Amino acid sequence: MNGVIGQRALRLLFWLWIIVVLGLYVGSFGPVIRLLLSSLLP
Amino acid sequence: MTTTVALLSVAILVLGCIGYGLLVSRLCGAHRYIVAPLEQQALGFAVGVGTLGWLAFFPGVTGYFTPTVFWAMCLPAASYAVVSWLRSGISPERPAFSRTELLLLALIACVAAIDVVEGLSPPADADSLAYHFALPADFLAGGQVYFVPRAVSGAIPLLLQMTYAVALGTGGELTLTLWVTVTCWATVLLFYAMMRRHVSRVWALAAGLVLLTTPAVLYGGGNGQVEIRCALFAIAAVAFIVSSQQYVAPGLMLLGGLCAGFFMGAKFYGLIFVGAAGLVILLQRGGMRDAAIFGFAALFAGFQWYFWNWLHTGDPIFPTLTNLLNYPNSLIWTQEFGRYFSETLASGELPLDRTVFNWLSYPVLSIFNLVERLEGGRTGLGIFSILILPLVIYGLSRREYRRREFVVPLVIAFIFFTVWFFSGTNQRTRHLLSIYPLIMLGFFPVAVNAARRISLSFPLVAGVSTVAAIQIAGQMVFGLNYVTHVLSAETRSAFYQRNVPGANSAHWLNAGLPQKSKVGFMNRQLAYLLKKPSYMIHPHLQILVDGRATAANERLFVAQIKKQGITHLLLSGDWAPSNARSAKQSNFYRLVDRLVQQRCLNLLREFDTLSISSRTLRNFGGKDIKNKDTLFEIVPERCP
Repeated sequence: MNGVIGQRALRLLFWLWIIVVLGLYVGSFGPVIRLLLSSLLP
Repeated sequence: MTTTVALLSVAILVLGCIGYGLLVSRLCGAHRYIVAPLEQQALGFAVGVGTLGWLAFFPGVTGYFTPTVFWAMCLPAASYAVVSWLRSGISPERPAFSRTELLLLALIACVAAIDVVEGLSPPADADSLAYHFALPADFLAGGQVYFVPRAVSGAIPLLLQMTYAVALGTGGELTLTLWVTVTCWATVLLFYAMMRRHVSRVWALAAGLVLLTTPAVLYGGGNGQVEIRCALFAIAAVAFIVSSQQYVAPGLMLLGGLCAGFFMGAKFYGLIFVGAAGLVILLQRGGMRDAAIFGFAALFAGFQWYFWNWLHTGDPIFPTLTNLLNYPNSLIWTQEFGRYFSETLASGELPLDRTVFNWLSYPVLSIFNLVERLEGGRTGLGIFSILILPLVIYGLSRREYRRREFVVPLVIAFIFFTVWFFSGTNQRTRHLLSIYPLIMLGFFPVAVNAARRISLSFPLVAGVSTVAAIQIAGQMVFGLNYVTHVLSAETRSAFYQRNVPGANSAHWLNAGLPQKSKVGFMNRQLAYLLKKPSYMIHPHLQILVDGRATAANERLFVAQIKKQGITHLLLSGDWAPSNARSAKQSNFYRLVDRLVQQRCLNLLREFDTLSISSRTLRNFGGKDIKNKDTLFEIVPERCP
């Protein structure tokens, strides 16, 4: 039982890591993304 | 016809390098240990590229730097490659691919297609135009390699530029641009082949796609930047070192040393790589003998350009020792200029203090672009290594994954990074690209195995897919500039007008200047575009013509330009009297204005030009600044 809970917690933590790290990375391109969007959108 | 010759030349160059590589590998006995066909060919190509660049040095310095000699160097080696393929009886396999593998292959093909489009376009990268491609073109035009008394972009190791010269000489510019495309792919192919030793094909393909679309690879892969091609040597060196210890084969260690030496011959940072790899070898069982073999081979393969620099300056790593040991003043460098050079480097290229905290936090500061001057965003190493870091830490905490083939590349990369950071050299992240594949080779297989063990494969797949998607999107944005050129009827001249500041002035000078004129210019990107005799008055890297903002002695300036035989000056900026006499202008600006007043400099023509902040983002509304280039004729009899 403990093993299953630990496994789920580990998976959740890794998902969280992926989302946070990717979010921060994409966020670091903020000015570029704004420039791209402003030229692509009317 | 020209295109046919260019494509044929690329094919012969590739075959020639494989031929040289297979021959050298065979002489070292590698064929007995490295038997997988893909590994054999990819490693052979890496050894062959280095061998070709090494060999080309000799006709270069002896004045036989001609296309005929290049063909004579390549054709026998290419024939050897073909004969050895026929003899080996290797027949192309038709492996069955899964759907995921087919998808990955399709994505790789899309990315490669954009690379080809870039390869079909004229070179536009600033460093390539300033020296990576300009020097080989100049050497070819002069029929020999000559010493260029300029720090950072002249008196440097030029092994890879020798292969650029071979490409340019045999098939012209198209061969050159396609050659750099192919050598970039070869690095990724070798990376894939090494990855296949440890992970399944689908994972290796995914890793290859991630590497191929890494921002620094997109930035430097399709032009003359040497880092990705140094990575080819670094991966090959590590592969040979690991295999040598696995099979107890000194011949493989010799090959590892040769590849490390080729890295050394291609870039000063190769010295750090040789030192790091040598240290790792020394600390292992039988280290003394292996390190001696490795060191001898590395010196043999890498000595040329250090000897060449020493011969002309007394400093093999010019101007590092000159500045460090306060060499006496010479015609090409003075102690005062050395101090200025070091200060300029520190203020422009070293945004981080060299502290332990900054050393440890560098990856985070770079990857998340927290210090913009590290340029870790659009030309950095991407997010992948940090994304899989938790799995790597878990994996490396278990003994079963702490295997030599993962630990050796990681330790070499770690030592390299540490020495690089504390050495006080340029801190731009893209200079670490040469060792980034080593980190991936250590990290990725461990992460994949750890994810499988603790059932985290699905989030890993999601992470890898997202990274690949982000990077492919980056590739699309980057490639648009080249796709626009190739798919439209845009002329070469119009392409340069859009992409290189001052290209219009270079084009005019090529056609409009008298036959025996020589132009002095400050915009370094024009070096490749100017087909007339020229001299780059770089304000920070050379002293033969002092073009620093602080230069104020017009007599000295005139004497220096006369000594270089310069008849015309092309200077950036608006030299209208009201502007030139503004209090905000530099001493050098006022110096030129005084020469104009004395009619020593006769204003011939002004060109409207643009300062382009980013070639890539220009298509999306990035801001350009309008500028002017001014052409002066020197009237010696009116000069002070």
